[in-house]
Amino acid sequence: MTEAALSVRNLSKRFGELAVTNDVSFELERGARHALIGPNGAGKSTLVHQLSGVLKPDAGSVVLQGIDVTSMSARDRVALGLGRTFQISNLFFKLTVFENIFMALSERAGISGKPWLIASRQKALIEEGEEIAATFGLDGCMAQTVSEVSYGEQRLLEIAIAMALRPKVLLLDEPAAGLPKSEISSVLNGLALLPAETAILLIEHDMHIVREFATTVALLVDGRLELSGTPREVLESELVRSVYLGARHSSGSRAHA
Amino acid sequence: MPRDATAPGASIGARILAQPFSPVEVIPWLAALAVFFLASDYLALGTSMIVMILFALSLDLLTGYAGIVTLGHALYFGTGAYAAGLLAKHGWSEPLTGLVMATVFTAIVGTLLGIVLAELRGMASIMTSMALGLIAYEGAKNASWLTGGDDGLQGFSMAPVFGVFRWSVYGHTAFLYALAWLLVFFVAIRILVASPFGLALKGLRENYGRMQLIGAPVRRHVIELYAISSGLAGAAGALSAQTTSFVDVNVFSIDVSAGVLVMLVVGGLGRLYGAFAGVIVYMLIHNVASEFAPFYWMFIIGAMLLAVVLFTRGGVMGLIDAMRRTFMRKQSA
Ligand SMILES: Nc1ncnc2c1ncn2[C@@H]1O[C@H](COP(=O)(O)OP(=O)(O)OP(=O)(O)O)[C@@H](O)[C@H]1O
Ligand SMILES: [Mg+2]
Repeated sequence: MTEAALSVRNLSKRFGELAVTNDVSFELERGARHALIGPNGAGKSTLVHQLSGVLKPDAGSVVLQGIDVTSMSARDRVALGLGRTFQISNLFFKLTVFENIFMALSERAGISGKPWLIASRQKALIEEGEEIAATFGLDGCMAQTVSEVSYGEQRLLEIAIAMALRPKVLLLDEPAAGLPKSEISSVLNGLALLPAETAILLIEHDMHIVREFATTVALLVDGRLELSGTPREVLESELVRSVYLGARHSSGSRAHA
Repeated sequence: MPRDATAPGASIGARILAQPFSPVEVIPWLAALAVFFLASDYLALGTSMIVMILFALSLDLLTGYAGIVTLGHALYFGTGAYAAGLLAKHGWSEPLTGLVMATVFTAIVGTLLGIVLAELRGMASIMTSMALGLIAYEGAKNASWLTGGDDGLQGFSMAPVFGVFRWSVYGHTAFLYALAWLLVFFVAIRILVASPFGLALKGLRENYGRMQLIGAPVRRHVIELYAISSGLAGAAGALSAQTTSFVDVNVFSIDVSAGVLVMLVVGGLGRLYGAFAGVIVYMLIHNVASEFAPFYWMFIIGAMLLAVVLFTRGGVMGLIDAMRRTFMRKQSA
């Protein structure tokens, strides 16, 4: 019970001169609703890549439910209950929406290596897939290929696929990125439906979403965790204002210091 | 075949995943029977087409479905051919068990090579598969004590099928024997393609990196695919050896690897029936062209490939699909 769902200890990574992750430590409890904010180029996505096993950290460790996964492959981390979504939609674009979901389900269920099974007869799994699609409002476009559906639906599919894997810890990298205001509410609705026991780290620029979703917020600047607290404390702090205003003033250039 | 999935009661999800049998699919089999009864002069050509269709199907799983391009698939065809030929030559002339043994043996070879090849992607994989093919070719040429070298493997004959049907010079038995095996393997392939594994293959083709992040054991998937694809290619090779009582050492040549890839591209990748269409079109043109223009047939094939790549999306089968769609639109208009 006391064991954190995800615990990150002294994680560091450099890209050449750039300390993109600088001695980052934090923990996610079971059922956590944690948001990570920070200006463009702060190193948020790079952090998610290291947690999910896409990139290797230079130092530090990632512990998933008591198991050190720092040197494990992305695939093994998924099997242990780590799910993630991508800031830029990373889907199977020529396959249908439902095939995308079903593929994740069949990997989770361990039937993806069985060439003698008929996919359309896997009743329980298909029903689960239909439910997931409905949960995220994708039931109307299940038969369309991903490249045919709206960008908003692609963002929701990212979350739906992650959910199909029943993660214990879910990392959401800007699920509303690139969405028009009108479609942001559908992502918020989707987030509200995620299982309560799943520990979630949400990366988001949209402060409205952060306020609605998170119970704690941390600020990442130049690879360093600077602040952590309730949404109110953090979002109204001087530092956040100056960082975000500063970033906006020097729009385009990433250099903040 | 997943017929019940298209029943009115089936859920939307089941219908999206279903690949139901369509009545059109009996056409190639009826055509084959028509050749058998009406055009017995073409039985030998027909038999070699059946062999090549099975070979092209094995490649379609690898290249069309999973997106793994190879220039070394002849390695498995040749392995199956020599395995079946050598079995017969050394006393095991019962064809059915011979073919099964050759298939299993080739699948084992394919699995072992697959363990290596699964580590590689893109150009490295293409080059390595080609190099393995070249090694097998040179090896078979030099090991003439075993393979007959440049003269090929000859001097063997198969026992009657089921102990009853003799292999006549007219090739009736050979044709039906090959056709029956093709049907058996095709049904299996048809099921594979409609399975979760078949879907995973498309996933590997569409977004290899993402597959790992949905927890797919990608290496295991690829090795399993090599086992299946090489086994089927080996079965095609074994069929070739058994129906002709001869194995040409050139079964291992890169021409065979490239040729089957061209046939598949001409027919259409990743749709099974592309293998049928591509092989039939290619071999008919080859047959006619090599008779009337023996020095130019490669040129004709080359021009055809160019036309397919430039003007069609998805080869002959893609063209047929497009024509059918236009036709249906005209009808509904
Ligand atoms: N592969 C790489 N090689 C070198 N530098 C990189 C690489 N990937 C990212 N960077 C740099 O690392 C820094 C952090 O990038 P990252 O994508 O993690 O930022 P982010 O916080 O997710 O920003 P955004 O809000 O724009 O998504 C940026 O300056 C970026 O240019
Ligand atoms: Mg980012």
